[in-house]
Amino acid sequence: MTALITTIAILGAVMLVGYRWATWLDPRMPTLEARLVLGTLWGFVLLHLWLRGLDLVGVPWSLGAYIFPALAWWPGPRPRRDREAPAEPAARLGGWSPSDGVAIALIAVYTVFTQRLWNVHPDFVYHWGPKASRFFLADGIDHGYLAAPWNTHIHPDYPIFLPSLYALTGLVGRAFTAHAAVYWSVAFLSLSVLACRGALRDLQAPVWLVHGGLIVITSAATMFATGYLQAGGADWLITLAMVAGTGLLIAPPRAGQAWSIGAVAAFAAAAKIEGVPLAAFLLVGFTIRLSTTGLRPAVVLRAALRASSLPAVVIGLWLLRVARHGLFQASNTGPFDGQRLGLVLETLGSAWWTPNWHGMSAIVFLLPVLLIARTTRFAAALAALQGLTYLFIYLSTPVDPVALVLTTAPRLLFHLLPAIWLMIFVALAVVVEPRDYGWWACGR
Amino acid sequence: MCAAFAAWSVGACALELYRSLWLVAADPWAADAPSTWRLSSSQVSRLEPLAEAVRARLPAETPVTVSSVLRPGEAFFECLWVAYLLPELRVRCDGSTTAASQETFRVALGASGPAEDCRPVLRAGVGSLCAYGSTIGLVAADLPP
Repeated sequence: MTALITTIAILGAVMLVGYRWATWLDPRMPTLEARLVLGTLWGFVLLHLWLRGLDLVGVPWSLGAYIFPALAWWPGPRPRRDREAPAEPAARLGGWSPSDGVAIALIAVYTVFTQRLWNVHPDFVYHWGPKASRFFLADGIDHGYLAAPWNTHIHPDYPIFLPSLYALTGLVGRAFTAHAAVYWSVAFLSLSVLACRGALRDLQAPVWLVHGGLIVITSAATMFATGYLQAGGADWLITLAMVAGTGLLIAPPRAGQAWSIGAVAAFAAAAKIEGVPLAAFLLVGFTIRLSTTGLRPAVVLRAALRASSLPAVVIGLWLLRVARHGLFQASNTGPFDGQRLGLVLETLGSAWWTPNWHGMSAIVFLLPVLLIARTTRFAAALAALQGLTYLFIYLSTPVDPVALVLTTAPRLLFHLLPAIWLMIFVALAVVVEPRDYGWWACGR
Repeated sequence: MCAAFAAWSVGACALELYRSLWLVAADPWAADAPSTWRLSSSQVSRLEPLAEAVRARLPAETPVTVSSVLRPGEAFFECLWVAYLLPELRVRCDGSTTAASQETFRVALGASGPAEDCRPVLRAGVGSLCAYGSTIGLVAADLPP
Protein backbone atom coordinates (compact mmCIF):
# COMPACT_ATOMS: atom_id res chain seq x y z
CA MET A 1 0.00 0.00 0.00
CA THR A 2 2.90 2.34 0.78
CA ALA A 3 4.26 1.86 -2.73
CA LEU A 4 0.87 2.67 -4.24
CA ILE A 5 0.49 5.83 -2.15
CA THR A 6 4.04 6.88 -2.95
CA THR A 7 3.52 6.30 -6.65
CA ILE A 8 0.35 8.38 -6.60
CA ALA A 9 2.09 11.14 -4.63
CA ILE A 10 5.02 11.31 -7.03
CA LEU A 11 2.69 11.17 -10.03
CA GLY A 12 0.73 14.04 -8.50
CA ALA A 13 3.89 16.10 -8.07
CA VAL A 14 4.99 15.30 -11.62
CA MET A 15 1.58 16.31 -12.98
CA LEU A 16 1.54 19.49 -10.92
CA VAL A 17 4.94 20.63 -12.13
CA GLY A 18 4.45 19.45 -15.70
CA TYR A 19 0.95 20.91 -16.04
CA ARG A 20 2.24 24.35 -15.12
CA TRP A 21 5.08 24.21 -17.63
CA ALA A 22 3.04 22.57 -20.40
CA THR A 23 0.13 25.01 -20.17
CA TRP A 24 2.52 27.94 -19.99
CA LEU A 25 4.44 26.97 -23.10
CA ASP A 26 1.56 25.44 -25.07
CA PRO A 27 -1.52 27.21 -23.71
CA ARG A 28 -3.81 26.26 -26.57
CA MET A 29 -3.92 22.55 -25.88
CA PRO A 30 -7.49 21.78 -26.87
CA THR A 31 -8.60 19.15 -24.37
CA LEU A 32 -8.11 18.53 -20.69
CA GLU A 33 -6.83 15.07 -21.58
CA ALA A 34 -4.08 16.64 -23.70
CA ARG A 35 -3.17 18.99 -20.88
CA LEU A 36 -2.98 16.18 -18.37
CA VAL A 37 -1.00 13.82 -20.60
CA LEU A 38 1.39 16.35 -22.10
CA GLY A 39 1.72 18.02 -18.72
CA THR A 40 2.68 14.70 -17.14
CA LEU A 41 5.21 14.01 -19.88
CA TRP A 42 6.66 17.47 -19.26
CA GLY A 43 6.81 16.60 -15.58
CA PHE A 44 8.59 13.31 -16.24
CA VAL A 45 11.18 15.03 -18.40
CA LEU A 46 11.75 17.75 -15.80
CA LEU A 47 12.01 15.12 -13.06
CA HIS A 48 14.54 13.22 -15.15
CA LEU A 49 16.63 16.37 -15.65
CA TRP A 50 16.24 17.27 -11.99
CA LEU A 51 17.54 13.89 -10.84
CA ARG A 52 20.41 14.03 -13.31
CA GLY A 53 21.21 17.51 -12.04
CA LEU A 54 21.21 16.33 -8.43
CA ASP A 55 23.54 13.52 -9.44
CA LEU A 56 25.91 15.92 -11.18
CA VAL A 57 26.20 18.15 -8.12
CA GLY A 58 26.31 15.23 -5.71
CA VAL A 59 23.06 15.85 -3.83
CA PRO A 60 21.32 12.65 -2.64
CA TRP A 61 18.01 12.08 -4.38
CA SER A 62 16.27 11.45 -1.08
CA LEU A 63 16.96 15.06 -0.17
CA GLY A 64 16.78 16.85 -3.49
CA ALA A 65 13.64 15.12 -4.72
CA TYR A 66 11.49 16.93 -2.18
CA ILE A 67 12.42 20.26 -3.76
CA PHE A 68 11.19 19.11 -7.18
CA PRO A 69 7.53 20.18 -6.66
CA ALA A 70 8.78 23.73 -6.15
CA LEU A 71 9.44 23.83 -9.90
CA ALA A 72 5.70 24.31 -10.28
CA TRP A 73 6.11 27.75 -8.74
CA TRP A 74 9.20 28.68 -10.70
CA PRO A 75 8.72 32.21 -12.04
CA GLY A 76 8.49 30.88 -15.59
CA PRO A 77 5.65 28.42 -15.47
CA ARG A 78 3.06 30.58 -13.77
CA PRO A 79 0.02 30.72 -16.01
CA ARG A 80 0.16 33.94 -17.97
CA ARG A 81 -3.17 35.53 -18.63
CA ASP A 82 -2.02 37.00 -21.91
CA ARG A 83 -1.08 33.56 -23.20
CA GLU A 84 -4.02 31.65 -21.84
CA ALA A 85 -6.17 30.10 -24.50
CA PRO A 86 -9.77 31.12 -24.70
CA ALA A 87 -12.15 28.56 -23.27
CA GLU A 88 -12.92 25.96 -25.89
CA PRO A 89 -15.73 23.42 -26.00
CA ALA A 90 -13.38 20.45 -25.59
CA ALA A 91 -11.39 21.95 -22.74
CA ARG A 92 -13.25 19.82 -20.21
CA LEU A 93 -13.17 16.08 -19.95
CA GLY A 94 -16.46 15.85 -21.77
CA GLY A 95 -19.43 13.76 -20.78
CA TRP A 96 -18.89 10.42 -19.13
CA SER A 97 -20.06 7.39 -21.02
CA PRO A 98 -20.19 3.61 -20.64
CA SER A 99 -16.94 3.41 -22.63
CA ASP A 100 -15.23 5.37 -19.87
CA GLY A 101 -16.59 2.83 -17.43
CA VAL A 102 -15.18 -0.02 -19.51
CA ALA A 103 -11.80 1.71 -19.71
CA ILE A 104 -11.72 2.32 -15.97
CA ALA A 105 -12.75 -1.27 -15.27
CA LEU A 106 -9.97 -2.59 -17.51
CA ILE A 107 -7.42 -0.33 -15.84
CA ALA A 108 -8.67 -1.60 -12.49
CA VAL A 109 -8.22 -5.21 -13.63
CA TYR A 110 -4.71 -4.39 -14.82
CA THR A 111 -4.01 -2.78 -11.47
CA VAL A 112 -5.06 -5.96 -9.65
CA PHE A 113 -2.84 -8.13 -11.86
CA THR A 114 0.00 -5.71 -11.27
CA GLN A 115 -0.56 -5.54 -7.53
CA ARG A 116 -0.33 -9.33 -7.42
CA LEU A 117 2.86 -9.19 -9.55
CA TRP A 118 1.26 -11.60 -12.04
CA ASN A 119 2.30 -9.64 -15.11
CA VAL A 120 5.80 -8.37 -14.33
CA HIS A 121 8.13 -8.00 -17.31
CA PRO A 122 11.14 -10.37 -17.25
CA ASP A 123 13.40 -7.42 -18.02
CA PHE A 124 12.32 -5.89 -14.74
CA VAL A 125 14.04 -8.81 -13.03
CA TYR A 126 16.98 -8.97 -15.40
CA HIS A 127 18.00 -5.32 -15.48
CA TRP A 128 15.45 -2.56 -14.79
CA GLY A 129 14.79 -3.77 -11.25
CA PRO A 130 18.43 -4.42 -10.28
CA LYS A 131 19.44 -1.02 -11.62
CA ALA A 132 16.65 0.64 -9.67
CA SER A 133 17.65 -1.27 -6.52
CA ARG A 134 21.22 -0.11 -6.87
CA PHE A 135 20.15 3.48 -7.46
CA PHE A 136 17.94 3.20 -4.39
CA LEU A 137 20.83 1.89 -2.29
CA ALA A 138 23.21 4.53 -3.67
CA ASP A 139 20.60 7.29 -3.28
CA GLY A 140 21.50 8.33 -6.81
CA ILE A 141 23.03 6.84 -9.92
CA ASP A 142 25.40 3.99 -9.11
CA HIS A 143 27.97 4.62 -11.82
CA GLY A 144 30.32 1.96 -10.46
CA TYR A 145 27.64 -0.70 -10.80
CA LEU A 146 26.78 0.38 -14.33
CA ALA A 147 30.40 0.48 -15.41
CA ALA A 148 31.44 -2.85 -13.87
CA PRO A 149 32.90 -4.91 -16.73
CA TRP A 150 31.11 -8.06 -15.55
CA ASN A 151 27.77 -6.30 -15.61
CA THR A 152 27.17 -5.83 -19.30
CA HIS A 153 24.00 -7.93 -19.23
CA ILE A 154 22.19 -5.14 -17.39
CA HIS A 155 22.50 -2.89 -20.46
CA PRO A 156 24.39 -0.13 -18.67
CA ASP A 157 24.13 2.15 -21.70
CA TYR A 158 20.35 2.28 -21.70
CA PRO A 159 18.72 5.59 -20.75
CA ILE A 160 18.06 5.64 -17.04
CA PHE A 161 14.84 7.54 -16.54
CA LEU A 162 12.85 4.43 -15.67
CA PRO A 163 15.18 2.97 -13.00
CA SER A 164 15.60 6.48 -11.62
CA LEU A 165 11.83 6.81 -11.29
CA TYR A 166 11.58 3.43 -9.59
CA ALA A 167 14.45 4.22 -7.23
CA LEU A 168 12.90 7.57 -6.35
CA THR A 169 9.62 5.85 -5.52
CA GLY A 170 11.53 3.54 -3.22
CA LEU A 171 13.41 6.40 -1.61
CA VAL A 172 10.27 8.42 -0.94
CA GLY A 173 8.50 5.32 0.39
CA ARG A 174 11.57 4.32 2.43
CA ALA A 175 11.78 0.83 0.87
CA PHE A 176 12.43 -0.56 -2.54
CA THR A 177 10.16 -3.40 -3.58
CA ALA A 178 8.81 -4.53 -6.92
CA HIS A 179 5.63 -2.66 -6.08
CA ALA A 180 7.58 0.61 -5.98
CA ALA A 181 8.11 0.07 -9.69
CA VAL A 182 5.21 -1.79 -11.20
CA TYR A 183 2.43 0.64 -10.27
CA TRP A 184 4.00 3.06 -12.72
CA SER A 185 2.86 0.77 -15.51
CA VAL A 186 -0.73 1.39 -14.42
CA ALA A 187 -0.03 5.10 -14.68
CA PHE A 188 1.41 4.67 -18.18
CA LEU A 189 -1.65 2.65 -19.26
CA SER A 190 -3.98 5.30 -17.87
CA LEU A 191 -2.07 8.10 -19.59
CA SER A 192 -2.05 6.22 -22.90
CA VAL A 193 -5.82 5.75 -22.72
CA LEU A 194 -6.29 9.38 -21.75
CA ALA A 195 -4.12 10.50 -24.68
CA CYS A 196 -6.23 8.50 -27.13
CA ARG A 197 -9.47 9.81 -25.66
CA GLY A 198 -8.19 13.37 -25.94
CA ALA A 199 -7.03 12.90 -29.54
CA LEU A 200 -10.42 11.54 -30.63
CA ARG A 201 -12.31 14.30 -28.80
CA ASP A 202 -10.01 16.96 -30.18
CA LEU A 203 -10.90 15.74 -33.65
CA GLN A 204 -14.56 16.09 -32.65
CA ALA A 205 -15.12 12.62 -34.04
CA PRO A 206 -18.62 11.16 -33.78
CA VAL A 207 -19.36 10.18 -30.21
CA TRP A 208 -19.77 6.50 -31.01
CA LEU A 209 -16.29 6.48 -32.56
CA VAL A 210 -14.78 8.09 -29.49
CA HIS A 211 -16.41 5.42 -27.35
CA GLY A 212 -15.47 2.61 -29.69
CA GLY A 213 -11.89 3.80 -29.95
CA LEU A 214 -11.57 4.08 -26.21
CA ILE A 215 -12.84 0.53 -25.66
CA VAL A 216 -10.69 -0.99 -28.40
CA ILE A 217 -7.48 0.77 -27.45
CA THR A 218 -7.87 0.10 -23.72
CA SER A 219 -8.78 -3.54 -24.31
CA ALA A 220 -5.91 -4.11 -26.71
CA ALA A 221 -3.34 -2.48 -24.43
CA THR A 222 -4.60 -4.22 -21.30
CA MET A 223 -4.75 -7.54 -23.12
CA PHE A 224 -1.19 -7.50 -24.33
CA ALA A 225 0.29 -5.84 -21.26
CA THR A 226 -1.25 -8.53 -19.08
CA GLY A 227 -0.63 -11.60 -21.19
CA TYR A 228 2.82 -10.63 -22.42
CA LEU A 229 3.94 -9.34 -19.01
CA GLN A 230 4.62 -5.64 -19.48
CA ALA A 231 4.44 -4.33 -15.90
CA GLY A 232 7.70 -2.82 -14.75
CA GLY A 233 9.16 -2.79 -18.26
CA ALA A 234 10.10 0.19 -20.38
CA ASP A 235 7.98 -0.61 -23.41
CA TRP A 236 5.06 1.22 -21.82
CA LEU A 237 6.96 4.49 -22.11
CA ILE A 238 7.47 4.15 -25.86
CA THR A 239 3.82 3.15 -26.26
CA LEU A 240 2.78 6.26 -24.36
CA ALA A 241 5.13 8.47 -26.38
CA MET A 242 3.77 6.99 -29.62
CA VAL A 243 0.12 7.69 -28.79
CA ALA A 244 0.93 11.15 -27.44
CA GLY A 245 3.00 11.92 -30.55
CA THR A 246 0.27 10.54 -32.79
CA GLY A 247 -2.26 12.81 -31.11
CA LEU A 248 -0.04 15.81 -31.76
CA LEU A 249 0.59 14.92 -35.40
CA ILE A 250 -3.15 14.51 -35.98
CA ALA A 251 -4.18 17.70 -34.20
CA PRO A 252 -4.17 20.99 -36.09
CA PRO A 253 -0.87 22.83 -35.70
CA ARG A 254 -1.04 25.57 -33.07
CA ALA A 255 1.26 28.10 -31.55
CA GLY A 256 3.23 26.44 -28.77
CA GLN A 257 2.79 22.94 -30.14
CA ALA A 258 6.54 22.73 -30.75
CA TRP A 259 7.11 22.62 -27.00
CA SER A 260 4.70 19.71 -26.60
CA ILE A 261 6.34 17.82 -29.47
CA GLY A 262 9.67 18.47 -27.76
CA ALA A 263 8.37 17.13 -24.44
CA VAL A 264 7.10 13.91 -26.04
CA ALA A 265 10.36 13.45 -27.96
CA ALA A 266 12.42 14.09 -24.82
CA PHE A 267 10.31 11.64 -22.84
CA ALA A 268 10.82 8.96 -25.50
CA ALA A 269 14.56 9.58 -25.60
CA ALA A 270 14.80 9.36 -21.80
CA ALA A 271 12.95 6.05 -21.79
CA LYS A 272 14.78 3.61 -24.05
CA ILE A 273 17.31 3.59 -26.86
CA GLU A 274 14.39 2.92 -29.24
CA GLY A 275 13.02 6.25 -28.05
CA VAL A 276 15.94 8.16 -29.58
CA PRO A 277 15.00 7.41 -33.21
CA LEU A 278 11.37 7.95 -32.26
CA ALA A 279 12.28 11.41 -30.97
CA ALA A 280 14.14 12.16 -34.20
CA PHE A 281 11.23 11.02 -36.39
CA LEU A 282 8.79 13.01 -34.31
CA LEU A 283 10.84 16.19 -34.69
CA VAL A 284 11.41 15.69 -38.42
CA GLY A 285 7.74 14.86 -39.00
CA PHE A 286 6.63 17.91 -37.05
CA THR A 287 8.98 20.16 -38.99
CA ILE A 288 8.01 18.82 -42.41
CA ARG A 289 4.33 19.07 -41.53
CA LEU A 290 4.77 22.65 -40.38
CA SER A 291 6.72 23.54 -43.50
CA THR A 292 3.76 22.49 -45.67
CA THR A 293 1.45 24.96 -43.97
CA GLY A 294 2.72 27.99 -45.82
CA LEU A 295 4.52 29.44 -42.81
CA ARG A 296 7.71 31.35 -43.47
CA PRO A 297 10.85 29.16 -43.31
CA ALA A 298 12.21 31.27 -40.45
CA VAL A 299 9.09 30.57 -38.40
CA VAL A 300 9.31 26.86 -39.15
CA LEU A 301 12.99 26.85 -38.23
CA ARG A 302 12.28 28.59 -34.93
CA ALA A 303 9.58 26.07 -34.11
CA ALA A 304 11.89 23.20 -35.01
CA LEU A 305 14.60 24.59 -32.77
CA ARG A 306 12.13 24.99 -29.92
CA ALA A 307 10.92 21.43 -30.37
CA SER A 308 14.47 20.08 -30.51
CA SER A 309 15.83 21.87 -27.47
CA LEU A 310 14.49 19.59 -24.74
CA PRO A 311 15.27 16.30 -26.53
CA ALA A 312 18.72 17.62 -27.34
CA VAL A 313 19.41 18.17 -23.65
CA VAL A 314 18.12 14.72 -22.72
CA ILE A 315 20.01 12.93 -25.48
CA GLY A 316 23.13 15.00 -24.82
CA LEU A 317 23.13 14.05 -21.14
CA TRP A 318 22.61 10.41 -22.05
CA LEU A 319 25.49 10.40 -24.54
CA LEU A 320 27.70 12.27 -22.08
CA ARG A 321 27.06 9.68 -19.36
CA VAL A 322 27.59 6.76 -21.71
CA ALA A 323 30.81 8.22 -23.15
CA ARG A 324 32.19 9.37 -19.81
CA HIS A 325 31.85 5.93 -18.24
CA GLY A 326 32.52 3.91 -21.40
CA LEU A 327 29.16 2.20 -21.21
CA PHE A 328 28.22 1.78 -24.85
CA GLN A 329 27.86 -1.90 -25.68
CA ALA A 330 29.29 -3.19 -28.93
CA SER A 331 26.47 -5.71 -29.05
CA ASN A 332 24.00 -2.90 -29.76
CA THR A 333 24.85 -2.69 -33.42
CA GLY A 334 26.79 -4.40 -36.14
CA PRO A 335 27.25 -4.29 -39.90
CA PHE A 336 24.07 -4.15 -41.97
CA ASP A 337 23.36 -7.51 -43.55
CA GLY A 338 20.60 -7.33 -46.14
CA GLN A 339 20.91 -11.03 -46.87
CA ARG A 340 19.20 -11.72 -43.57
CA LEU A 341 16.02 -10.06 -44.76
CA GLY A 342 14.30 -13.30 -45.77
CA LEU A 343 15.18 -15.00 -42.51
CA VAL A 344 14.16 -11.98 -40.43
CA LEU A 345 10.84 -11.55 -42.24
CA GLU A 346 10.10 -15.25 -41.89
CA THR A 347 10.82 -15.10 -38.16
CA LEU A 348 8.84 -11.88 -37.84
CA GLY A 349 5.94 -13.68 -39.43
CA SER A 350 5.82 -16.19 -36.62
CA ALA A 351 6.70 -13.75 -33.82
CA TRP A 352 4.03 -11.26 -34.80
CA TRP A 353 1.29 -13.87 -34.64
CA THR A 354 2.01 -14.60 -31.02
CA PRO A 355 -1.28 -15.68 -29.40
CA ASN A 356 -1.03 -12.74 -27.01
CA TRP A 357 -1.97 -10.36 -29.83
CA HIS A 358 -5.02 -12.37 -30.88
CA GLY A 359 -4.53 -11.44 -34.52
CA MET A 360 -4.32 -7.70 -33.89
CA SER A 361 -0.84 -7.58 -35.40
CA ALA A 362 -2.68 -7.56 -38.73
CA ILE A 363 -3.59 -3.89 -38.34
CA VAL A 364 0.03 -3.00 -39.11
CA PHE A 365 -0.83 -3.78 -42.72
CA LEU A 366 -3.26 -0.86 -42.68
CA LEU A 367 -0.33 1.55 -42.34
CA PRO A 368 -0.08 2.12 -46.13
CA VAL A 369 -3.72 3.20 -46.15
CA LEU A 370 -3.16 5.46 -43.16
CA LEU A 371 -0.16 6.94 -44.97
CA ILE A 372 -2.45 7.97 -47.81
CA ALA A 373 -5.18 9.44 -45.61
CA ARG A 374 -4.52 13.13 -45.19
CA THR A 375 -5.41 13.29 -41.50
CA THR A 376 -3.19 10.43 -40.43
CA ARG A 377 -0.30 10.48 -42.89
CA PHE A 378 2.30 12.07 -40.63
CA ALA A 379 1.38 9.92 -37.65
CA ALA A 380 1.41 6.84 -39.88
CA ALA A 381 4.81 7.83 -41.22
CA LEU A 382 6.04 8.08 -37.63
CA ALA A 383 4.84 4.53 -36.88
CA ALA A 384 6.17 3.18 -40.18
CA LEU A 385 9.61 4.70 -39.68
CA GLN A 386 9.76 3.41 -36.13
CA GLY A 387 8.84 -0.05 -37.38
CA LEU A 388 11.46 0.14 -40.13
CA THR A 389 14.02 1.11 -37.49
CA TYR A 390 13.31 -2.14 -35.68
CA LEU A 391 13.72 -4.01 -38.97
CA PHE A 392 17.05 -2.26 -39.48
CA ILE A 393 18.15 -3.33 -36.00
CA TYR A 394 17.27 -6.94 -36.80
CA LEU A 395 19.32 -6.71 -39.99
CA SER A 396 22.34 -5.23 -38.29
CA THR A 397 22.45 -6.92 -34.90
CA PRO A 398 25.64 -8.79 -34.09
CA VAL A 399 23.67 -11.35 -32.07
CA ASP A 400 21.48 -14.17 -33.38
CA PRO A 401 18.72 -12.32 -35.29
CA VAL A 402 16.23 -15.17 -35.00
CA ALA A 403 16.44 -15.22 -31.20
CA LEU A 404 16.29 -11.43 -31.09
CA VAL A 405 13.21 -11.27 -33.30
CA LEU A 406 11.40 -14.00 -31.40
CA THR A 407 12.04 -12.40 -28.03
CA THR A 408 11.44 -8.76 -28.93
CA ALA A 409 9.12 -8.43 -31.95
CA PRO A 410 5.80 -8.92 -30.11
CA ARG A 411 6.59 -6.24 -27.55
CA LEU A 412 8.11 -3.85 -30.09
CA LEU A 413 4.78 -4.17 -31.83
CA PHE A 414 3.24 -3.00 -28.58
CA HIS A 415 4.96 0.35 -29.18
CA LEU A 416 3.01 0.76 -32.41
CA LEU A 417 -0.36 -0.95 -32.15
CA PRO A 418 -2.21 1.37 -29.74
CA ALA A 419 -1.14 4.33 -31.90
CA ILE A 420 -2.21 2.53 -35.08
CA TRP A 421 -5.59 1.77 -33.50
CA LEU A 422 -5.92 5.46 -32.73
CA MET A 423 -5.12 6.35 -36.34
CA ILE A 424 -7.67 3.82 -37.58
CA PHE A 425 -10.42 5.45 -35.54
CA VAL A 426 -9.37 8.89 -36.70
CA ALA A 427 -9.46 7.71 -40.32
CA LEU A 428 -12.84 6.06 -39.72
CA ALA A 429 -14.19 9.34 -38.38
CA VAL A 430 -13.19 11.11 -41.57
CA VAL A 431 -14.66 8.37 -43.74
CA VAL A 432 -18.01 7.82 -42.03
CA GLU A 433 -18.78 11.44 -41.34
CA PRO A 434 -17.10 13.58 -43.97
CA ARG A 435 -16.94 17.12 -42.70
CA ASP A 436 -14.43 19.66 -41.51
CA TYR A 437 -12.33 17.75 -39.02
CA GLY A 438 -10.07 20.65 -38.44
CA TRP A 439 -7.20 22.41 -39.97
CA TRP A 440 -5.28 19.50 -41.38
CA ALA A 441 -8.12 17.38 -42.69
CA CYS A 442 -9.31 20.37 -44.68
CA GLY A 443 -5.98 20.52 -46.42
CA ARG A 444 -5.48 24.17 -45.82
CA MET B 1 -17.05 -2.03 -38.17
CA CYS B 2 -16.54 -0.13 -34.92
CA ALA B 3 -18.72 -2.65 -33.07
CA ALA B 4 -16.79 -5.51 -34.64
CA PHE B 5 -13.49 -3.99 -33.52
CA ALA B 6 -14.86 -3.50 -30.02
CA ALA B 7 -16.16 -7.07 -29.84
CA TRP B 8 -12.84 -8.41 -31.13
CA SER B 9 -10.75 -6.45 -28.65
CA VAL B 10 -12.96 -7.03 -25.61
CA GLY B 11 -13.28 -10.74 -26.39
CA ALA B 12 -9.55 -11.09 -26.92
CA CYS B 13 -8.85 -9.19 -23.74
CA ALA B 14 -11.19 -11.44 -21.76
CA LEU B 15 -9.50 -14.53 -23.21
CA GLU B 16 -6.06 -13.19 -22.39
CA LEU B 17 -7.04 -12.32 -18.82
CA TYR B 18 -8.53 -15.80 -18.38
CA ARG B 19 -5.40 -17.40 -19.80
CA SER B 20 -3.22 -15.34 -17.47
CA LEU B 21 -5.29 -16.34 -14.45
CA TRP B 22 -5.06 -19.98 -15.50
CA LEU B 23 -1.27 -19.73 -15.74
CA VAL B 24 -1.09 -18.09 -12.32
CA ALA B 25 -3.14 -20.90 -10.80
CA ALA B 26 -1.30 -23.68 -12.63
CA ASP B 27 2.15 -22.23 -11.94
CA PRO B 28 3.69 -24.51 -14.58
CA TRP B 29 7.19 -23.04 -14.56
CA ALA B 30 9.79 -25.77 -14.24
CA ALA B 31 12.69 -25.57 -11.80
CA ASP B 32 15.16 -26.18 -14.60
CA ALA B 33 13.83 -23.36 -16.79
CA PRO B 34 14.43 -20.11 -14.91
CA SER B 35 14.21 -18.18 -18.19
CA THR B 36 10.45 -18.81 -18.02
CA TRP B 37 9.93 -17.99 -14.35
CA ARG B 38 7.71 -15.14 -13.30
CA LEU B 39 8.13 -12.94 -10.30
CA SER B 40 5.03 -14.44 -8.69
CA SER B 41 5.92 -18.07 -9.45
CA SER B 42 6.72 -20.62 -6.75
CA GLN B 43 10.20 -21.21 -8.17
CA VAL B 44 11.17 -17.70 -7.19
CA SER B 45 9.67 -18.13 -3.73
CA ARG B 46 11.93 -21.15 -3.30
CA LEU B 47 14.99 -18.98 -3.87
CA GLU B 48 13.99 -16.37 -1.34
CA PRO B 49 15.00 -18.19 1.91
CA LEU B 50 18.47 -18.71 0.51
CA ALA B 51 18.69 -15.08 -0.53
CA GLU B 52 17.53 -13.97 2.92
CA ALA B 53 20.14 -16.13 4.63
CA VAL B 54 22.92 -14.90 2.37
CA ARG B 55 21.86 -11.30 2.82
CA ALA B 56 21.95 -11.71 6.59
CA ARG B 57 25.38 -13.26 6.45
CA LEU B 58 27.31 -11.13 3.99
CA PRO B 59 28.04 -7.42 4.13
CA ALA B 60 26.94 -5.20 1.27
CA GLU B 61 29.10 -5.12 -1.85
CA THR B 62 30.56 -8.55 -1.19
CA PRO B 63 31.52 -10.21 -4.48
CA VAL B 64 29.54 -13.37 -5.09
CA THR B 65 29.35 -15.84 -7.96
CA VAL B 66 26.67 -18.42 -8.55
CA SER B 67 27.04 -22.04 -9.53
CA SER B 68 24.21 -24.12 -10.85
CA VAL B 69 23.47 -27.60 -12.09
CA LEU B 70 21.46 -26.24 -14.98
CA ARG B 71 22.74 -26.03 -18.54
CA PRO B 72 24.65 -22.80 -19.20
CA GLY B 73 21.82 -20.80 -20.81
CA GLU B 74 19.38 -21.50 -17.99
CA ALA B 75 22.10 -21.19 -15.34
CA PHE B 76 22.64 -17.64 -16.53
CA PHE B 77 18.98 -16.81 -15.98
CA GLU B 78 19.07 -18.50 -12.58
CA CYS B 79 21.98 -16.25 -11.70
CA LEU B 80 19.97 -13.22 -12.84
CA TRP B 81 17.22 -14.18 -10.40
CA VAL B 82 19.79 -14.44 -7.59
CA ALA B 83 21.19 -11.05 -8.58
CA TYR B 84 17.70 -9.57 -8.51
CA LEU B 85 17.08 -10.95 -5.04
CA LEU B 86 20.47 -9.79 -3.74
CA PRO B 87 20.98 -6.26 -5.07
CA GLU B 88 23.18 -5.33 -2.11
CA LEU B 89 25.83 -7.81 -3.22
CA ARG B 90 27.99 -7.79 -6.31
CA VAL B 91 26.56 -10.89 -7.91
CA ARG B 92 28.48 -11.82 -11.04
CA CYS B 93 26.56 -13.52 -13.80
CA ASP B 94 29.11 -13.21 -16.57
CA GLY B 95 29.86 -16.93 -16.45
CA SER B 96 33.46 -16.38 -15.57
CA THR B 97 35.04 -19.49 -14.11
CA THR B 98 38.49 -18.02 -13.80
CA ALA B 99 37.67 -15.31 -11.33
CA ALA B 100 38.18 -17.45 -8.25
CA SER B 101 40.96 -15.17 -7.10
CA GLN B 102 38.51 -12.30 -7.06
CA GLU B 103 35.36 -14.04 -5.96
CA THR B 104 34.96 -14.26 -2.24
CA PHE B 105 31.80 -16.27 -2.03
CA ARG B 106 29.81 -18.59 -4.19
CA VAL B 107 26.12 -19.35 -4.07
CA ALA B 108 25.60 -22.91 -5.20
CA LEU B 109 22.15 -23.82 -6.40
CA GLY B 110 20.79 -27.31 -6.68
CA ALA B 111 23.13 -30.23 -6.33
CA SER B 112 26.10 -28.41 -7.75
CA GLY B 113 27.73 -28.26 -4.33
CA PRO B 114 30.79 -26.28 -3.39
CA ALA B 115 34.04 -26.45 -5.19
CA GLU B 116 36.76 -28.31 -3.34
CA ASP B 117 38.47 -25.14 -2.25
CA CYS B 118 35.23 -23.48 -1.19
CA ARG B 119 34.42 -23.82 2.48
CA PRO B 120 30.70 -24.28 3.28
CA VAL B 121 29.22 -21.43 5.25
CA LEU B 122 25.49 -21.90 5.31
CA ARG B 123 22.75 -23.92 3.75
CA ALA B 124 19.27 -22.59 3.24
CA GLY B 125 16.38 -23.54 1.03
CA VAL B 126 17.53 -24.62 -2.40
CA GLY B 127 21.15 -23.68 -2.06
CA SER B 128 24.16 -22.95 0.04
CA LEU B 129 26.95 -20.47 0.47
CA CYS B 130 30.62 -21.22 0.54
CA ALA B 131 33.73 -19.13 0.97
CA TYR B 132 37.01 -19.10 -0.86
CA GLY B 133 40.37 -18.68 0.79
CA SER B 134 40.18 -17.30 4.25
CA THR B 135 36.66 -16.00 3.72
CA ILE B 136 33.34 -17.68 3.28
CA GLY B 137 31.32 -19.21 0.33
CA LEU B 138 27.80 -20.18 -0.56
CA VAL B 139 26.48 -23.58 -1.63
CA ALA B 140 23.12 -25.31 -1.54
CA ALA B 141 20.88 -28.25 -0.99
CA ASP B 142 19.40 -30.28 -3.77
CA LEU B 143 16.61 -29.03 -5.89
CA PRO B 144 13.39 -30.63 -4.76
CA PRO B 145 11.92 -33.12 -7.21
